[in-house]
Amino acid sequence: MLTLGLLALTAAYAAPQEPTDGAEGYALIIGSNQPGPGQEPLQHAGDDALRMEAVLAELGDTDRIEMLLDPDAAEVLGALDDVEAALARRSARGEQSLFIFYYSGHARAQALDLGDDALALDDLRARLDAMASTVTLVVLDACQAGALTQVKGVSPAADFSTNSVSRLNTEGMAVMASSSATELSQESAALGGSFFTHHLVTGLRGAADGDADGSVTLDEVYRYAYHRTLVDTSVTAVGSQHVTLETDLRGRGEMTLSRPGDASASLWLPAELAGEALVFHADSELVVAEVHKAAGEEMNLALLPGSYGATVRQGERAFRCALTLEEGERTHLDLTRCDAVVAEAVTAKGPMDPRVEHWMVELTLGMMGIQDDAYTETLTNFSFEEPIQLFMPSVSAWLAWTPRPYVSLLAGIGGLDSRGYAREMRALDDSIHEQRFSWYTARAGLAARASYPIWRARIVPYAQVGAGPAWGTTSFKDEDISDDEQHWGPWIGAAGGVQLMAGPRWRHFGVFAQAEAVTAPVINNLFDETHDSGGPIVSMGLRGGY
Amino acid sequence: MYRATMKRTVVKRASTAGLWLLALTLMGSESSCDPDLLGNPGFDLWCGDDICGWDVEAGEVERVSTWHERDFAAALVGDEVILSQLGDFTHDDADCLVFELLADVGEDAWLTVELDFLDDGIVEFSEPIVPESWEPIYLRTVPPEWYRDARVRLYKEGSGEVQVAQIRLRQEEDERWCEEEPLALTNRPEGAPCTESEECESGSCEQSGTTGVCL
Repeated sequence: MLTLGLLALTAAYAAPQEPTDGAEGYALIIGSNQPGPGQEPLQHAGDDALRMEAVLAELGDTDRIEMLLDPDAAEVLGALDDVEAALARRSARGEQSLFIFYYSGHARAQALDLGDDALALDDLRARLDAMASTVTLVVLDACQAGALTQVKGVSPAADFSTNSVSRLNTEGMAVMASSSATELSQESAALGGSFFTHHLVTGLRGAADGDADGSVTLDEVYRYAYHRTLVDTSVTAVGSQHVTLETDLRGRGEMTLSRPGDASASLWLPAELAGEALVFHADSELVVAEVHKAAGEEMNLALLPGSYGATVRQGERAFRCALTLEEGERTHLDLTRCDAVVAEAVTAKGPMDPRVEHWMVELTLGMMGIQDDAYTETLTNFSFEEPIQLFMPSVSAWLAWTPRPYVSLLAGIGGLDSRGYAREMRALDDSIHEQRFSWYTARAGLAARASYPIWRARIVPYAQVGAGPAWGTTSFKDEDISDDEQHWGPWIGAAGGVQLMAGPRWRHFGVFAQAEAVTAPVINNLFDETHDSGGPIVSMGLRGGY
Repeated sequence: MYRATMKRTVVKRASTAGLWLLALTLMGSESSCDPDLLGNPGFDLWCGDDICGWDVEAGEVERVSTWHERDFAAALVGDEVILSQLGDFTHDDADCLVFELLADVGEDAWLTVELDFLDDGIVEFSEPIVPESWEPIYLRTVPPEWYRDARVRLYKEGSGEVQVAQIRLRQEEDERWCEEEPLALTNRPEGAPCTESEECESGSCEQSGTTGVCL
C-alpha cells in the first residue's frame, strides 16, 4: 500500500547518470493530498505520484526523477529551480533534454492548491515555458486542469479527434490535462488512484502501444487515456471527464514517452484474449493495470518482476489467475491455467466506487438497554415482577441504497423492547395462579446515512438518523384468558458506527458496529402512561450486496 | 369539614407507640411471594356482580378496571362503605403484620383500615390512610400475643371516589418493624390465655404461674 504523508521526498533524484549522446530526461513528480480552503483531502494523489514515478523509472526516457509529496509552493518552485539549472547547463553545451512535469492534487482554475499554500497557474506556466529543455511535457491530474492551457489563450482540446496533431513535433511543449477547464477530476477507491493517472500509467506500460512497436508515444497514450477515462467516468455520479492535450511542438517524428518493449519483465495478453482484465500486486492487491482487451489485438504490459494476481471477466464468466513475472521473461496470461470463479465475485470496482449505485443488505444483532418509566413503575406498584434484566436482544434488517458517494438511504424493520412481567394471585381456596403481562414492540422506517470512507474505503465511519412507525402488542394472560392489544406510535433515532469492508476480492461484504439511541413512545395504559420502547442500542452486523 | 363516624367501640390503645403508620411510596424489598393471609387480595375474583371472599357490610362495591382492562379494583360506592373479610389466621400464623394497600383515594373521601381481633365488634387497630394515587402504602402492627378470628375492614367515608386494587396482609419478616408492644385484646373468651382479668370477657383470669386462663 502506497501511503501518503510518510514520504516527504524533497530531493529524491534517481541515481544520476552521466549525460549520454542522446537527450537526457528529467522528471518532477508531485503528488499532494492536501486540501485547499473548502476542499476535502484527497486519498490517492500520493499514490498517483508513486505510480507515475515507478513507470517513468522503469520504462521512461527519464534519467533523473525528483518526487515531492505534499509540498508547499516554495518547495515546488525550488525543485523547478534545480531542474531549470540542470537544463540550462545542458542547453549551454548544446545537449538536448526532456522535462516531464507531473502533478496530481487539488487545483482550481487559477492555481494548484497545496494545502494552505497555492501555486498560481500563471506562475507555473511561466516557469515551464522558461525551461531550457528541448521538449517539455506537462501532465496535470487535477480538477479543471485544462485551465492551464487557457493561460496562454489557447483553447484546450475538447476532443482529440478534432484537435490532435497528426505529426507531433520534437521541440516545444505539450500539456496533457486530466479534465477540461470546467470539469472535475475523479479518484477511484477501487483503483486506489485517479482514473486519468491509472489509465495513463497503464497505457505507458504497454496498453496504449497500438502499433505494437514496443514504444508508447504521446499521441498513443493520450488516445488511450482519453478513451478509458471517458468510459470509466461516464457512469460516475460526478460525470464524464475529458482528458485534454495541448501541443506546441515543432519538428518531425513522434514523441516517445515509454518503451515497454525494453522492459525486463512483462505480461503478455494474446490476441485471442478478450474481456476486462485487472492486474494487481499479489501481496498488497494494489491495482497496477486495468485494460479492456479486445480480441484480435495483442497487448504487452511492462511490469516489474514479482508476484501478481489477475482477474479476467468475459461476460458472465470470470477467471482469477496467479502470475509470477520473471526477470527477462514475457509471461503469457493463459486462462487455461486460471481458476474459474463466480462472476459476481469478480468486479472491476469496489463498493464505494462513486460511479456505481449499489445496494446493500444489513443484518444486525444488538443489545438494548432496559428503560423504566411511569408505565413500568405502575406494573411494579401492582405487584408485577420482572426477571432481573439489564439488556435485551434486538434484531433488525436494513436495505441500503447508495445513490451518491457518501450518502445512503435505508429502509428496514427490526425489534425494539420486549418484556414480560408476572404476579401471583391467591384464590379463595388458597390456590395460587399466575397472571402475566408482556409486550413486544417493533419498528419499520427509513433512515438517511452519511458516511466517509477512509483507508481505501475499507473503513467507513458513518452517522445516520431515522424515523418511522412502531407498533407493539401487549398481552395480559390470566389462566385461560389472554387479552391482547395493539398499539401504534412513532419512533425516531440517531446512530453512529463504523463499517469494516473486506478487501478487493470481497469488497461488497463487511461487518459493522453501531451505537444507536431510539425513542419510541408506543405502549400506553388506562392511566395515560406511555412507555418508551426505545433506548440505547449497541449492535453489530453483517452487510453485503453489490 | 364534617366527618361522619360510626357508632362502634374503639379500644384506646394501651400505648400510642404500639401502633404506627409507615407510608412509603416504593418498597422494592417487599415481596409478593410471601403468603397472603387474606383471600382475593387483588379483587380480581368476582362472583357475578359481587366480589368474592369479601363482605359488603355497608354501601356498594363495583368492579372497575385500573391500568388495564383486565386488572380490576373494587370501587367503594357511596358516602359510607364497609368492606370486610374474616381472616383465617391466628396468632400462630403471624405475630407481626404488614398491610400492603394499593388504592386511589379521591378528594372528599377517606379510607381507614381496621383490624377486629375475635370479630367481636371491638376494633383493636384503626388507621386512616392517604395514599398517593396508586402508590403502595404499608401499614405495620404487632397483633395481640393471642388472637383468632381477625376481621379486616376497609371503611370508606365521604362523597369522593375510592378505588382499592390490592390489600394484602402477611407476616412481616423484618423484625425491625416488630419491636413495639402488642396490641391489647379484651373480651377474650373462656379458655383464652390472659394476664389480667380485664382481658377476659368474664372478667376473670385464673393465674397459674406466669400464665393465666380466662374463666
